[in-house]
Amino acid sequence: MPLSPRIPRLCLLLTVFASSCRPPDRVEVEQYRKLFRDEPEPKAGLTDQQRFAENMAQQLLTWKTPEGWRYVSATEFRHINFTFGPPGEGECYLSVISGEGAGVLDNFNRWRKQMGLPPMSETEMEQLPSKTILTRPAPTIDLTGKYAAGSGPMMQASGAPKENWRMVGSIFEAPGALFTIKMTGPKDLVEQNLKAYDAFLASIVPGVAPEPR
Amino acid sequence: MNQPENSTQPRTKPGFPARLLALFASFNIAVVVFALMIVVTFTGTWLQKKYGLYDCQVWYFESWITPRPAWLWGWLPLPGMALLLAVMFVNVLSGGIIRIRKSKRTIGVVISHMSILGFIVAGAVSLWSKTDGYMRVFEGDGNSIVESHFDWVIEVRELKSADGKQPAADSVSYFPDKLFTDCTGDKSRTFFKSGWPFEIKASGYLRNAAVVPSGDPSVTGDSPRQGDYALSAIPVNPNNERNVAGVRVEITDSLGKPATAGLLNAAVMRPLVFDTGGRRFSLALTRERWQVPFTIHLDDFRAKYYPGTQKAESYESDIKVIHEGGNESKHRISMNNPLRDSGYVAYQTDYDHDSAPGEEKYSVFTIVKNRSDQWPLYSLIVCTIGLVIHFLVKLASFLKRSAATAAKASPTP
Repeated sequence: MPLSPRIPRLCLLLTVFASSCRPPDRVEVEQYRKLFRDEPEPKAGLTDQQRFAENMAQQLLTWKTPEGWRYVSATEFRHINFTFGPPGEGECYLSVISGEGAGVLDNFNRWRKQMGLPPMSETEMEQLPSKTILTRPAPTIDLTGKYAAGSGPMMQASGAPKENWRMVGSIFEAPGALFTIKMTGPKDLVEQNLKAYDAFLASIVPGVAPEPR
Repeated sequence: MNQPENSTQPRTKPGFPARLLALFASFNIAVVVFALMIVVTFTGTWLQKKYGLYDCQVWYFESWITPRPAWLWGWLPLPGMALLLAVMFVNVLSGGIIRIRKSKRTIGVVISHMSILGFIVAGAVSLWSKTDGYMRVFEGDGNSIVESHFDWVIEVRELKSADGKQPAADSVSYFPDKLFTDCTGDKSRTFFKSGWPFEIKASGYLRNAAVVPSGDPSVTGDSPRQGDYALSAIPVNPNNERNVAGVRVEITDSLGKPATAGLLNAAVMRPLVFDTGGRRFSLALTRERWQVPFTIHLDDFRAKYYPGTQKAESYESDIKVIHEGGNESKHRISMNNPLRDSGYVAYQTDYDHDSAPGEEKYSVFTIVKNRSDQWPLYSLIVCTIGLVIHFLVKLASFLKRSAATAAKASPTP
């Protein structure tokens, strides 16, 4: 039995009908539901940093990303994490070491070891220049040398040591926690970003959310 | 004088309704529909391996025409199962019920055709009105909120009215994802409501996304951004319930000036809160949620595992159903033994896999509200009755013919 020519026409009509349903560009919201029993009220005044916080440090602090720096995802030991420079060779990150972690001197000496330098004494540490972070003094080191990244006890060596590298790092103590901020990169690149480093340190404030106006 | 009847006179052409009915009842249509059903079923099943169960179900089995991603070889659209079943409904109604010769001999056939219509109607009612979601209940605790497996909504809640007090309204407005899933890339749509001092423009929708710092290597030029953050696209998971949607929203006040903007991501538990027109609102992208008129309290959960494995052989929950009036009733829900209450059906579908066997902390129920829940069963019973009648009619006819043949064949004394 031959197929009726009306059938393809009918199919075409149905196809056009089915494909013509798209919502308009402006839509009035009509649906609603009742509030659930004990439904919590969302907290007001949170910044994006607090809304999207990946860890406790991001919840506790607010900061400004310096011009030209790229804000990248946190890692286990880099709680606020940036890269800079064209190939992203420059790095700067804030870490919070809570509880019974190593002290300020131990951390400075760990960094010195990463730069291929001998440890310093407590007296030498006391003579380090200091920056101010969260109103607290933060002794700061500025080292140049051969940088072997991630040579600390909890890290594995990553790649060959980098020649002519520079490290600027600050550490300050807060009750129950140690805050470390470390910037590394090729010597010239770090030199160009010293002001950005200072700007980042100055921008760090406790993450008490202001109430919206 | 009456004209003599001329048997060779051509028959009068049937009217339009009769021709339309003949077209709808066409056997050709039935054959084409059945052939296409085979193709669609095969394709939709075969491609589940590639696209996952959810997408294939929506594209092939719940659509009128398969959408672009589901075209065969990228250029051949197929009719969706909804369209094929709609055509089949008209075809069966026209041919199997209206046009069929009605007699004692065809009564079983007519009844069976009616049952097929019952199946199709049950499917249609289920497709367009069924709600289903899951409810997670911890042991010793109760819950009455159901979350959709797949459907997202943007919820808008007023937190503070113009006089600084709690708003009188105890409701949350929302709009479903089907209104913004096409707002990808530069496409956008604006949402408004009478009484709101603002409008919401949604854009940059991503089906599976995470909020990441804007300098993250996963962020591309097309990624929706806001301030220091961006929505990073994650490859779509074939298990759709594992995808986490994201969208960018811009809020403009009643004068059309930008008030605020932000990224919404279902994984972010903190909604975007903003003030405009002296009032405070929150915006959140979340699974569609609704409250059922009873609370399920989990008294005990038990799972039986295959020996030496973590794979459950069976699992069941002892529950209390507490109604709003305070009435309580005890039930046991297990696989294939659901609870039916207040128009809802609660199936035992999942449990806490993270705890050690015997220490499971929660049970998961799929809660379904489907008016046509039992209609396929009724249709099946009707179909069985129709086929049995038809069989008996045919059997009687056969026995009668056999008896007649036997009578003819037997020699006359």
